[in-house]
Formats: sequence, C-alpha cells, structure tokens
Amino acid sequence: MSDIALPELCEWSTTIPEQHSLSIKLGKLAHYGAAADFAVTEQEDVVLRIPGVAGFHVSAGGDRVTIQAEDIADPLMVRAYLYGSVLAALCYKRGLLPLHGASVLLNQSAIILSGSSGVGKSTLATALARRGHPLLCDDVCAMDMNPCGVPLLWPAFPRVKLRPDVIASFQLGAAVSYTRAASGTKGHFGMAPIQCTAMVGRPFPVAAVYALDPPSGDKVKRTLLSAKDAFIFLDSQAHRGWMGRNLGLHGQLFRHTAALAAAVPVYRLQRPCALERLDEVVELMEAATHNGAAAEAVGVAIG
Amino acid sequence: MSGMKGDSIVVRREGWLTARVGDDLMMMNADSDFYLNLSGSGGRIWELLEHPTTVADICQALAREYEIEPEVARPEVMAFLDQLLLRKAIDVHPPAVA
Repeated sequence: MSDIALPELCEWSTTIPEQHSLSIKLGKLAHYGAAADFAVTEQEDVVLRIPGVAGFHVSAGGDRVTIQAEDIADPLMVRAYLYGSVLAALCYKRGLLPLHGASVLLNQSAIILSGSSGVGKSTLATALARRGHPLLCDDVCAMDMNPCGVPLLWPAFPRVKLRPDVIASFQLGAAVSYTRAASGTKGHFGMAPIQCTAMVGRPFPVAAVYALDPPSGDKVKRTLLSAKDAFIFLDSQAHRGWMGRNLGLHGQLFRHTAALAAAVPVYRLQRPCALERLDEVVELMEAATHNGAAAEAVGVAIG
Repeated sequence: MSGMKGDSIVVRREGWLTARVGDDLMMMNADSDFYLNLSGSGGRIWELLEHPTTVADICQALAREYEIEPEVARPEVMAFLDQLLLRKAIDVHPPAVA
C-alpha cells in the first residue's frame, strides 16, 4: 500500500501475507529541518534525510515507511532512494542481507553482479536480461540467509538505473523515466523497464556472485576468489553497511556475509570497457553456469 | 613479548564473533568492527581455546594432530598467541597455584 505512485513496481496478483506487507505513506517527519541525515530513534525507528529530496522514516518493525518529500524534489529521485537506501533499511529490519548489486535469473538460479557504484552492474544485468535471463533486481539484492545454508534472493522490481548513453546504446525506448538533474555516481540517470517474467512471489537460490572490477584491458575472464577475499569483498558490498552497523546489527551482518561467502562462489570478473563486447561477458557467464557453478559452490562450502 | 610460558593459561576474550568460511575462520570484534582471519592451524588454535587452556596443552594437541614434536610447535604457537594478545582476542594468565 503506497500513498505515492510507484510505476517501477509490478502488480501483485496473489495475497500478501501480513508479515510481508509494507505501508508507504506521505507525512510530516518530526524536526525534519534540524534532523541529522541518519538517525536511529529511541524506538529503534530509522530516519534518513536526503537534502533536496526527502526524509524517510522506517518503523522499527520494518512494516511502515513515511516520506516527507521536499517541494523541489524530483519524484524519480524520491523513488530511487526508496528503492535503494530505504529498501536496505527494511532488509536490515527484517533480518535480510542487502547486498549492493543487480541480479538475473540464469538456469533457475540467481546470479549476482556486485561492485562499487558506477562499475557497470546495471549495464551487464541489462545485457543479460536482453539475452533472455530475467532481471531479478537492481541496486539492492535482498537475501534470506536461511539456516539451511542456501542463500535465497527475493526478486524486486523490473527496472534498471542506467546512464542516458547506456540507455541509448541498448535502444530501450520511450518508457524510460529520467532524473531532472545530475546526481550521485551515475550523474543524470534513467530508470528503464526490463522484462517482467520472473517477478513471481518466491525467492531463488543464489548460485554465484560476480565481483565486478571497473572495465579495463582486453580480457574477459573470471577468477574464483579465496574464501577470505570473498568475505572481504562481500563485507565491502553490504548495501549501506554503515546503516546496519548503526542499527546495532554487527553480528547479523557478519554472520550473513560469512554464510554467503561460505555457500556461494565469488568470482572476480574482468572485462573490457567496450559495450559492444558485453555479449562475450554474457557468454562466459552462461557457459560457466551450465558447466557446473553449482559444483564449485559445494567445493567452497565444504572447504 | 607477553612473558608467556608453557604453563600460562590462555583465555578467549568475550565479544568476538566467529564464522567458518572454507578453511578459514573469520572473526569480528563487535565493539570495534575489527576483523581477524585465521587460516589453517590458527583456526584450530582458536577452537582449542574454547575453554581456558595452557600453552603447553595447545602445543601437545597440535603436535598430535600435525604429527610433529611439541617443542617444534611451541615457538609458532607462542608467536601466534602473541598476535592474538596484541589484537585483544585473548588474555594470558599466570599458572594457577596448586
């Protein structure tokens, strides 16, 4: 249930269990003008303030979000923070691990593309989606680190955040919403729709994480990281990890990151800068998935 | 150096979270966000410290498992324990008086 239009989200045809529901309302936040950019209240609610955009209040139970948008705010920026930082806060509150990355469905498993902002996660995810591998999420990968040891990724919404030049090169058409002004690591960006076939209400097992280097050189190559390097990388890519730690969830974050590093292979992915060579990267990932990524996952898990 | 001896008693400090990742043992101090990565015999020594134990007992246990003489293991074990002490992961107490 939302007071604001969220055109990036899919219609949901099934009944949502009470514990999964989320209410998004517009309202006034207490002391908004004087508030810090991030705070945890005595009631353990989370308050985020993005100057020039909006304030967001996330209830302690992770079931309610209140938004106070500034008059000058670009609605797309408000939604981008809602789908990013606020979604990460909701994940922490609900005991999920939010990893910074995009994900696609490959061979019935989730493949995660992770790395620093602007490294090319959304671009590669779009290239994979255009080859028929449904997009599961972009920016925040919400993972359930269940006790059975198989990390499960919950699909989000079928939109990618891309720079206008990348949108143009993919010829994604007129259905793209663009920000009014440059902002953040992507600068001026658009929210582009991608096919919606995987947006079913169930999570998918995670088969691999790709740690993306900035594109450079001429090689398309993946290298399996050691357990230690995998942990260090995943720890660095917890979405708004500082927020989880400020919520006192050091232990949860540590356990989830270690469990992911133990259960799933993490590969460093090198690739050239040229967009026209993206298909080679996609082909490598397709071949690797069909040739036994799952077996390697077991190898890592049992050491 | 800590002045550690064979009959010194080694005790884990509280506040460390641990998780096994492959062959490595990842550790995090929740108060300081400080991480340690123990590989191979380092992780095994941490397991042996589940209960307070002497340096000599650690050396004996490792010597049995790795099929070496305790005296061979001892310098390495003490150097490793010194590192854990420096990082506030353990305390070392003088031997108990009988």
